[in-house]
Amino acid sequence: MQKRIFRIACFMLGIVFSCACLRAQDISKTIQLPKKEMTGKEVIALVEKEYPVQFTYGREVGERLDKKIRFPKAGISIRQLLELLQKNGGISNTSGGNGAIILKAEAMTLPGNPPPDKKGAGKITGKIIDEENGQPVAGANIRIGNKGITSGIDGSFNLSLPEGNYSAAISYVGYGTKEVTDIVIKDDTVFPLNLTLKRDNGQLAGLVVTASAKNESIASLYTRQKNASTITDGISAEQIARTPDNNLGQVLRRVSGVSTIDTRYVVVRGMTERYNQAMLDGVIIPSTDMNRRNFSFDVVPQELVSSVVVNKTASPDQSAEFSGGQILINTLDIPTQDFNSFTIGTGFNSRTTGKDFVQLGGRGKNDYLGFDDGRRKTPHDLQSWTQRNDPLPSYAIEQSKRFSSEPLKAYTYKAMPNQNYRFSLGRAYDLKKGLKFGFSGGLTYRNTQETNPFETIRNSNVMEIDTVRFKGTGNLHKFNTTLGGVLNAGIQNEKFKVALKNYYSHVFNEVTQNASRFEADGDRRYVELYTIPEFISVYQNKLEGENLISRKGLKLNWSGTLTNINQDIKDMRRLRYDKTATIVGKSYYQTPAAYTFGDNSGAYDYRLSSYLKERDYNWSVSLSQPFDFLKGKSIVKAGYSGWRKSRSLGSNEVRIIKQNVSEKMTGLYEDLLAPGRIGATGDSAFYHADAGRNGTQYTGSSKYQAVYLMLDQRILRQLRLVYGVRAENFDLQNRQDQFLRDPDNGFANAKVDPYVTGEKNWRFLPSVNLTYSLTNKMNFRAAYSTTMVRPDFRETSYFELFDAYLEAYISGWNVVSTKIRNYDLRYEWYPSPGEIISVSAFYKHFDKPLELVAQSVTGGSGRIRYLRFQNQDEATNKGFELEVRKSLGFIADKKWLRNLTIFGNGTWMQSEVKAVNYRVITEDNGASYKLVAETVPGVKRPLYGQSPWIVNAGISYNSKIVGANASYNRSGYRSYVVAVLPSMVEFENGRNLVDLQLSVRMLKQKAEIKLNISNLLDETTFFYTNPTAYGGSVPGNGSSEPTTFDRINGTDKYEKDKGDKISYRVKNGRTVSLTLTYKF
Amino acid sequence: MKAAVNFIISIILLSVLSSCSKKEPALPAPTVFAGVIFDDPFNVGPLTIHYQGKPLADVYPLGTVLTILPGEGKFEFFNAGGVRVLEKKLVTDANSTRSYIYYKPNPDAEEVDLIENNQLSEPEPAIDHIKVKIANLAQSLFGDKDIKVIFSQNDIALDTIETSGIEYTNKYVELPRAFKIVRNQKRVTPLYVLTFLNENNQLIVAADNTPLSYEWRSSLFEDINIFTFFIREGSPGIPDITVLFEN
Repeated sequence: MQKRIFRIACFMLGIVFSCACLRAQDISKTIQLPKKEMTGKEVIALVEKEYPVQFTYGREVGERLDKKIRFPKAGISIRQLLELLQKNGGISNTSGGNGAIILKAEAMTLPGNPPPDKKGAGKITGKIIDEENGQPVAGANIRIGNKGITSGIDGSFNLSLPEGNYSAAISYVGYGTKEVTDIVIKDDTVFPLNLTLKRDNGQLAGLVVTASAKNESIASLYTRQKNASTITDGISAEQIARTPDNNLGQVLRRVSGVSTIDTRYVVVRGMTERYNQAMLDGVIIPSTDMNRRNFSFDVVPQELVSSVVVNKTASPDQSAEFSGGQILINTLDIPTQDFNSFTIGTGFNSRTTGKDFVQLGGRGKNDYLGFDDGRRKTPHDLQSWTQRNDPLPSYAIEQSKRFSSEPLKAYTYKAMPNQNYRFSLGRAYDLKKGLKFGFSGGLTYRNTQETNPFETIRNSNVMEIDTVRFKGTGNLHKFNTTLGGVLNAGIQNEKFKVALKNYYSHVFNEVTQNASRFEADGDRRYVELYTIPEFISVYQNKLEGENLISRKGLKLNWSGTLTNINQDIKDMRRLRYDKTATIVGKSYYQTPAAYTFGDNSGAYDYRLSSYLKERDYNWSVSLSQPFDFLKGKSIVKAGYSGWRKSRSLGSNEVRIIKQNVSEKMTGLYEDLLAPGRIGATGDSAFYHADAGRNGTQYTGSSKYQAVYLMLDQRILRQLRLVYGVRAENFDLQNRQDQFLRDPDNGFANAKVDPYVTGEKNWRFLPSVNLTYSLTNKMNFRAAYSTTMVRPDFRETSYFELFDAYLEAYISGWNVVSTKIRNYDLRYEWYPSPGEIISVSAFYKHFDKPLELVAQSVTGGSGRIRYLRFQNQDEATNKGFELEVRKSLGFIADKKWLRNLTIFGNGTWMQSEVKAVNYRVITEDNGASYKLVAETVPGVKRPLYGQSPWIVNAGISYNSKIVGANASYNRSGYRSYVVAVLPSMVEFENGRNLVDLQLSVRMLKQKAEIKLNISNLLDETTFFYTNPTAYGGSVPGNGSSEPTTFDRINGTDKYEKDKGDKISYRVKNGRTVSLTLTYKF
Repeated sequence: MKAAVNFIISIILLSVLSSCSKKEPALPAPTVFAGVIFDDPFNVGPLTIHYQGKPLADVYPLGTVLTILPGEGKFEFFNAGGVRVLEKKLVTDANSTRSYIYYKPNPDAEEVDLIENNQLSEPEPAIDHIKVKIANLAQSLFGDKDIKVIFSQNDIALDTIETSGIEYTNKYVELPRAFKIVRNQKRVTPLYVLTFLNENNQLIVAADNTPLSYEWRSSLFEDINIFTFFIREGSPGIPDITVLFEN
């Protein structure tokens, strides 16, 4: 009887939903059920025995069918049965064609729960893409519950639903059907669902693939990646949300082949920041460091990141200013759901929190807010002069009295725990006629205090760091306040999209060193105090748009961006005290190291303020048109982009001068340089404003324009060829105002240095990316591209600025762009959504690579190191890379194993640079000078900053409630400071880095607590030199030519038994942080 | 959950409140020092100096200012053989320097004593005058008797100073300083001739029966005009005048 009833029910299903296999007369039949209570699955089994149909359903439906249904009578019509199933089981149905019946879970009102409130309906929104080519699937049917919709031209869809748990069925002509489960709709919220559809390729129709909503979102990113035109890796917003990471810097480390140092510097494939490019919404991110290219990635709230993609090969339509990787951070404009999120966090560092923390001049009232309260303000309108044998100018003493001496007093505080706060929100609105409007924004605040104890013999002219008499010891105290804000808004419909993206960051970073140092010259021990307070603000406003011009897919993309950058150093101070006496075993350091004018070795104590202003305009426009070619969809794209940047940097530096040689000064600077005591006689001192170091240092302008033509051709579905050429016109003119005032800047080749540095040229950059799909889950890729890494204003400026980490003055020079030829091969396998296994090989040739090279400066005595950017002849990098991200679900079908993922990547690389020695030779009996660059034979070392290998590995567990992550990072040695003389090259040894993260979600997943322990092992980072590795002579200087070096003892890696000497050791401490995020 | 939230908020509040945390000077307040100079015109040393029971300094060249703490301090002096040859408590004032020389009361013994340069506080002499003070350490040369020293310039006796054993004369004696005017420039006459009278006020004579005399040249600088002399036996039978202190 029951059998019959179900048979009728199936017939009715078929009729109602056009199921072709059931005949109309079957509907009227009554099925006799064997008992009054049966499970849904038992009934389905009865029906499938009797009729040529097959039921397909997902996990959720299966669970519902496990429940028993009570039938009112033994004989029941199919119509009545279906109504009963739908009413009591919440199961609807649809036809999958050819006899397939898809059962779907509808929203259910659970016993005891209130009925759904129609006023507060939730939303589901997302995008459908083709699993094979990553292109949007327009016109696909999406059916959820009893509602349906068709995807738009960009594959997006949007549907309102009452609260409940759903499954969605997605189908389209030529594609298989996909059922997506675990869709949780809540009132007044939007559920994001990005998914992929697979072409049926002649397979049996009716095959239904089932996947969870979460995996679908991850899979869609990897589908885009698998079908990207270039070699890429990435991480989606959904993945970011699932990690226990606190900021974007940590998130980036999850991208294959990417490492971040201090969440600021990015290393891709072992290549340092200069050869990587970070872009925020398509615009190159300005550096938040005065001397190096970096970016505080934690300024962008991670809730506002829609995706992070790392391109490892170039395509003509993208900026080609990288070689290692191009990191594209895309922020949300129109969010997929309304959201509010608030995060508070704190943390402590084992070597900092609760311990002494020194700040020169004391802590300002507004330091915690990231702004100066006026205590670091110094006069900017000083009269400067070049001191020769003349008497002091009359104004010298009077203007010296304008400086307050209070900032010269050092104070000790107790370091407090780190703190961070983040707030972000997003709103989306459906307007009339398919128009959508939305905005998202966020604010971040972070304050960190970190102390790094160190030991050093750098700049001491001694070799033994473990000899107590020579060793310098001290602490670097780093106080950082970072503010960030993002506010984006967008409006779109099926034919256009316009978005306004605004970004603001403000970083206050003050590094203070308090150390006891030794110097062999004079057998002298002294106390050194310096502080470098940097204030950096970046404002960026971008307007971008996308327009569908024709029905055939002609698309216009355009953008315009305005960026303003301010970088100020406010009263950098360097103060030293020589030993006054050792009395009864106690040493007193109260003799200020103030020198007379005669000492020009750069050893002056001084105060420096600098102010930098930059304004950038970026723009771009492109047209793309899809067309059919050899059974595949191809695209032709042409575009134009450019920038115009202008920057000026001014400085005020005053040196502390003691005029009376015979008089010994004793006391502290804050007393000796008090306005009332300043003078040029007796035991007094004053400030000298040198003409070369006061006023505008450089004024630069940079113009860049690029046009490109690109063809993206799919040939016979399996082969994809993306190729084209990018023509770039670059014009950098950096006027060295400082040089005019003080042409003798101390370097041997100052006689040939030009007044205006920079270059102007056209470059044609071809690239080709070939992708061959071995299977649906495997690709083989080959790529060639020519890229150009351009020098920036800093690298072309003669201005010297002290760097606390390198313990050196850094300056630029008249350097030119580096041209890189990149060759890449990659095999990639995507075993299942969210997983990847790939092997890559690469070869890169650098023409005129840029390095930061230690200079020999006459007059110095090793007290100060001078580094300068300079072009080398050429370099090569070759290596291979292995990437793995794999769930352990393949071991056994256990939920906990499915939630467990191992990931890792390793890069092994051989790098070699052909370095040159620059020297000036005289011509015409000294009437003119010429700069010559000569290769130094015999020296074999890697390109600056290159490590022979780098390994990241980890394991993560992510469930609905708990997340855990353990990661390990280690790299080989890398050059830290390079020099022509091999014994002066300083290497950084790698160290083991282990980070642990734990997270727990609670309050219906609205709240999350994250515990992070970083640098668990707290290993010492050390730097070393190989003083006996090479035999040979000092390279050419002046008229002498360089001689050959021969490697005679050991390799570049640290080998203590081969005479390698440690020059610097530092510890960073373990940082434990706790963060609470609440979403509402 | 509630406990965790409370914990985080407490830490954050602590951090915020700490923005006005207590500050202390990182470097100690400047110490007030005193100075001491030891010189060795008689080549008594080299001696190692301990101050308050510890070596005074890594390097302490003779004649330079050694920085010490003001007040009473115990000084010990050791010869090259490690024998303590002198222990003395010296009192110094803040921001001032005391100057001493080593001196062996008994040339044949190891013991050493100090002679302080206390003429730094001596008032300046009248214009065109110098001040001198003498100790006679050449006792054997003069028969172990107190003698008198006659200072002469241009064959004119200026003054006669009476010595007392090996001690300094009680006070500085002020002597005129001869000078000439050459092309309207004042030129000091530096040469003084010293002759000696015995206890009977008779000239002491040398082996050749001529009066024993010694020529001493003062500084040409007019601002160096206070001198402390030691009379010692130079070559046998010949006196040698050592200027211990001049300023």
